Amino acid sequence: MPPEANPNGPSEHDRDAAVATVVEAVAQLLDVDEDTLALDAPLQSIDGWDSVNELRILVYLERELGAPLDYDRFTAAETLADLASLVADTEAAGARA
Amino acid sequence: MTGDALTALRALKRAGIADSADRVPGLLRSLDDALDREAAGMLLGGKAVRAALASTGRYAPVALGLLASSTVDALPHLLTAALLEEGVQPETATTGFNQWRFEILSGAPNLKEPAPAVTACLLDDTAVFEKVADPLDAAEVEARCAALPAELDAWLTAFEGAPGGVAVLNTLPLSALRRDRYVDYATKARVEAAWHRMNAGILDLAGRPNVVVLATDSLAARAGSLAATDRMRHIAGHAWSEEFLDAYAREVARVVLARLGRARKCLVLDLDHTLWGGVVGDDGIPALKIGGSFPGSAHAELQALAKDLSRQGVLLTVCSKNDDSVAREAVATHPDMVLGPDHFSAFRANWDPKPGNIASLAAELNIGTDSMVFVDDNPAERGLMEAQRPEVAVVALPDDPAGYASAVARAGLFNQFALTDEDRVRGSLYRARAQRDELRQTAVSVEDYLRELATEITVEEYGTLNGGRITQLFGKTNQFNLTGIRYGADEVARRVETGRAAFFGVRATDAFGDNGLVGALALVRETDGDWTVENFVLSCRVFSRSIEQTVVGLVLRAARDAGAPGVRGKHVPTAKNGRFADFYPALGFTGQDGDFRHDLTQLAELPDWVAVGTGEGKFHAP
Repeated sequence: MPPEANPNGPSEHDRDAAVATVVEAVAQLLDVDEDTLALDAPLQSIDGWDSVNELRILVYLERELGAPLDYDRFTAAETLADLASLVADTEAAGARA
Repeated sequence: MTGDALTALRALKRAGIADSADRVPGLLRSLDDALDREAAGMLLGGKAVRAALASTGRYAPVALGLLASSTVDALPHLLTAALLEEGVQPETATTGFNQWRFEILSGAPNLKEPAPAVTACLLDDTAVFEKVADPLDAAEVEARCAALPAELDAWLTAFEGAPGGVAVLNTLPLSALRRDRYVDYATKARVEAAWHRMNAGILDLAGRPNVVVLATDSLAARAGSLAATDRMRHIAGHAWSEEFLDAYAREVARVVLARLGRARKCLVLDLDHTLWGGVVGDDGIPALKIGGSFPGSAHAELQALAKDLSRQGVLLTVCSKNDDSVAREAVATHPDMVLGPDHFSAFRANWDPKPGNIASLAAELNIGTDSMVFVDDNPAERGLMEAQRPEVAVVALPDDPAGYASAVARAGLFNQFALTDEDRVRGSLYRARAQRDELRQTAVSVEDYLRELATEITVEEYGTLNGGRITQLFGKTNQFNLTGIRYGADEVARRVETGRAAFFGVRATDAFGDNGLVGALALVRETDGDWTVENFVLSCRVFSRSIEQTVVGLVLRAARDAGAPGVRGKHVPTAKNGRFADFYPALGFTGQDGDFRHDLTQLAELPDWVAVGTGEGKFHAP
């Protein structure tokens, strides 16, 4: 379903903000250059990505959002784009609530 | 959002951190959030950055060990952040999850190389409940709680064998889920009582040498949290909150600093709006707010804290923008002052910039500016100090004076292992030193001065009464520390017992009083019969009074009388002992590159203005 078909889903602007949040979290916590982070590249290919750091990123994102992320979706995420869409949906759900 | 300081650290790393290594401690100090501090520690602990920081020679390396009964992935990074802040670069060896017992009982295979100076072992309540078959059986829980302190005592004995060094233990928190599972109040109380007795038993282990026990609830109160969230407990197997681990890492860092002889020594206090409310130059002495109702009560509280620090050996000094006479009159005459002129070892009230004043205070007291802690209500003065003297610890005072004393106490920058009698009277020792310096100015020549001073030294053999102070002198002396070797209490005792080395203290008195034990020396015997001075340390309070020449002269004479062919001495450069590189050659030793020898055929006269007490002890090789 395209985003515009769902009036309760995140807007384009919210999606851009979510991408920025995710990219900043990964860049800061793993100390990688933001410019080298491709949204569609596998998370496993990011330098320093491992199970411990994955959890640090979860904690960091939940703190930024002030809300828990869906854990199943988080662990199933394969790319930064997947994480950004989880963040955007979580924020949209928070805004609706 | 993540701190700007973290972004700045990342930028420094990109640009090559070796060129801006001085900025690292300040940036770290400005990071408060535990996750940011973990990220910073991770960033600065990477292999390339480590090497770059080490290459600057500005960070003292130290090996640490880390053991835990739960997952503490964040802790090595948090320790890196807390120690780099203070100019120390840790290398932390860890073991697998919950291997704390097995690691030590199997001879510490993972912690041996390099031997850790300090090993932290962070235990949670699994250390109790992993050996409880039925947690609802209060009698079984009681028995297990009663057994744990003795188990840890035996563990510490194994720890002394390998890896050795300082062990940091903690009291165990009883987690909410454990506590709340009992439904009757009688059992709840019974388990709590057993738990408190167990923790009291664990705290009693701090009576062992080289053991520190941290009170977990105190750290949790400081951190504002203790346990991991239920979510992180399930997802990541965490027992502790990130904030708690940060507070724990900062406290372990204080232990490491004490062990390395880097605990701070001197509190530098501003006057206006800090030690008292108001501005004495504007408001006059009677209007100053000290004691009574708030805010005077808060300033009096800070003074009372400073006084108690002084009674434990911390030197107090004043650094204030004021006319000297006005400031001194206020300190001496205001009836509500808790501190008086006698509490201050040095006093700077003038209109010069404070970074310069603090350097001159340090010079007067013969300590390094990196031993000083600066307390000032004015953020501009604090900022200037941080920028110009990054080695000075600046206490981040809150805006409200109500929190001044708490902020200074919480910083824990003066923490050390055990106080000695010298610590308790250090302030008066330094004040007597100031009187001696006045004598130096009135005496005609240096020799006249030294004669009037009438110094007498006595040599003391290591023993139970002076052992603590001898170990502390090796640990705390930075300048006149010829080889930089520091000894743990257990190490000294063991080497004396096994005849590997002989340790001595040197006591000095003079016309102005007893200086206490001011020097310490370790002697070993080489296979060819030569004696070697393994290390010689001397308190900076008594430099330049020929005590050092006299001590070495006594060693040479004792070696000759014992028939030794020669005496060897070493100088191993450290960050602080460079001015003593030529100490041995100046006394007739020959050699180079820090390795010197004196052949004992011809000995120089001992300085005749230093008397040598008899009957106490004489140098000898083991």
